[in-house]
Amino acid sequence: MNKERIEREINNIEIPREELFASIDRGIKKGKKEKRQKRIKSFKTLGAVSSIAASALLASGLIFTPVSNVLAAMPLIGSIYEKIGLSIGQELEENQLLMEMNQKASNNGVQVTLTSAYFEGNVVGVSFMMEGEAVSTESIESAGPEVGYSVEIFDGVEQEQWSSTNTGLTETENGFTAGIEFYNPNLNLTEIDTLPITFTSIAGIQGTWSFAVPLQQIPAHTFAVEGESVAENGYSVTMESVSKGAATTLVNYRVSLPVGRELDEIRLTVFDDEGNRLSKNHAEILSTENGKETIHMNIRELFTSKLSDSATYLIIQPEIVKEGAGSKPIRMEPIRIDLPN
Amino acid sequence: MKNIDLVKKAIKGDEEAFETLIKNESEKLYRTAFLYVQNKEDALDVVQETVYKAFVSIRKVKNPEYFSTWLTRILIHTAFALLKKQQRHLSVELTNEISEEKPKDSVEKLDVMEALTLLNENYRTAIILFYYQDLSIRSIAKTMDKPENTVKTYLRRAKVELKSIIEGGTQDEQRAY
Repeated sequence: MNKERIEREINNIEIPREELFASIDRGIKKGKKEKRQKRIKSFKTLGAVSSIAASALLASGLIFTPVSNVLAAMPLIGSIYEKIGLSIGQELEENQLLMEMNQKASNNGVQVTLTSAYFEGNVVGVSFMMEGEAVSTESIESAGPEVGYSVEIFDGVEQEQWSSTNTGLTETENGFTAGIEFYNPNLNLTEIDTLPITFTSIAGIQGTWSFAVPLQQIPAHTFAVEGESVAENGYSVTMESVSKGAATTLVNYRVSLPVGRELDEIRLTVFDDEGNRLSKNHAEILSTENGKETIHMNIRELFTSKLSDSATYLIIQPEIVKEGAGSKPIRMEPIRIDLPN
Repeated sequence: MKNIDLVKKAIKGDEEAFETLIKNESEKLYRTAFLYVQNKEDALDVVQETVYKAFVSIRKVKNPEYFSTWLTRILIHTAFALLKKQQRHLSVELTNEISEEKPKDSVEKLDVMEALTLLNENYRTAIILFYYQDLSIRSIAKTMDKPENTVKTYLRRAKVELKSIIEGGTQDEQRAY
């Protein structure tokens, strides 16, 4: 093994130049958006003063619509999700779709407050605040796990744990805040109405802090779609439905793979007609059926992008990714699905 | 140095300078991301997220000469975060099927790309930074936030493991180091 060989092999990785530049542009665009929001926040005090002035104007009857729109756009609750970097919560927060919560639990000198929750697509998100003398940056860093707390759902019954994304505890003026996204794996997303969450350790302190999060799914527009792409040798993908949420998009589809190639994957890239690529999050296999020659999987895939209201159709680019290293993805025919008006 | 001037401008908020810097580094960013996530779409997502994080926090860069190190560090953290997220979503069914698969022929030769994925996080990062990004031990230590001696140990052990994997060793043999 030598440097030249490693370099040569790495330099063989093809560069998808156009897509790479498009990704860079999207990253910059997202950064600009965030910076703009921060600037708005830094004028919050000024905004409050302006509100009083505007109220006076409203009272005097001299106000016109654009000013009241500006007032409505001012954030009412602090940008928790922006601070902890969870994009779904952030988008919902901007559109005032979060449920504000104030459930508290205290144990061993630590108070936990559940401050907000949402149920969007298959994602149940919560934010919470942790306070207590023993909760400090040092105690969080020295105790495991990395995020600073341990949490379980459904009383820790192993078979019922959902996968999740947990953010680390972040210090604020009022204590330490963090957020969790839980991914509901059930076929019927609304079959349960409460999610029991229990923290079992915080900053190294063992205890029990339990909450019951009411699950009220933010309404989404779900519509059946038609479209199929079939490749040789038994690979195919059939689109079934799209669910347009307030901050996410769920896509249901059926994949067929040849028997013996169950570890291959058909990976989808989704664009709308305006050139926006939906950000992939994860795909869940809801069910599997074994046929004689092919194996069928029903899949639900979460994209953490909201479908644009002005988009009229989606282009889905499927690629066969064969198990094992070294094989390049094989492009299948793209699928176009029209969106209802 | 031209790049240093661009970095200084970008730190002061010049968005065009930032974009030029990133585009100059784009191939390296993409290939490094690819080495971790092993597919195009995820590598593009990692680059996008890295650019976003770098854009909103570039003013925190204190030493312009370490811009590249700083950017690489963001990229690596982002790639690992994505890998961890994906690990949590591994289907139980698929995992069961993997265990039933025949083990790889122990004498089968692997390429460097595949071999890299078999190294642990620290070894993999040390090898990528040393061999592909041409960073000095000092810069790798800075990027990985580890002492220089630890980095030297990572490199030494990673090279032995990599050689063993590529030349047909099994994973059990690797653990001996």
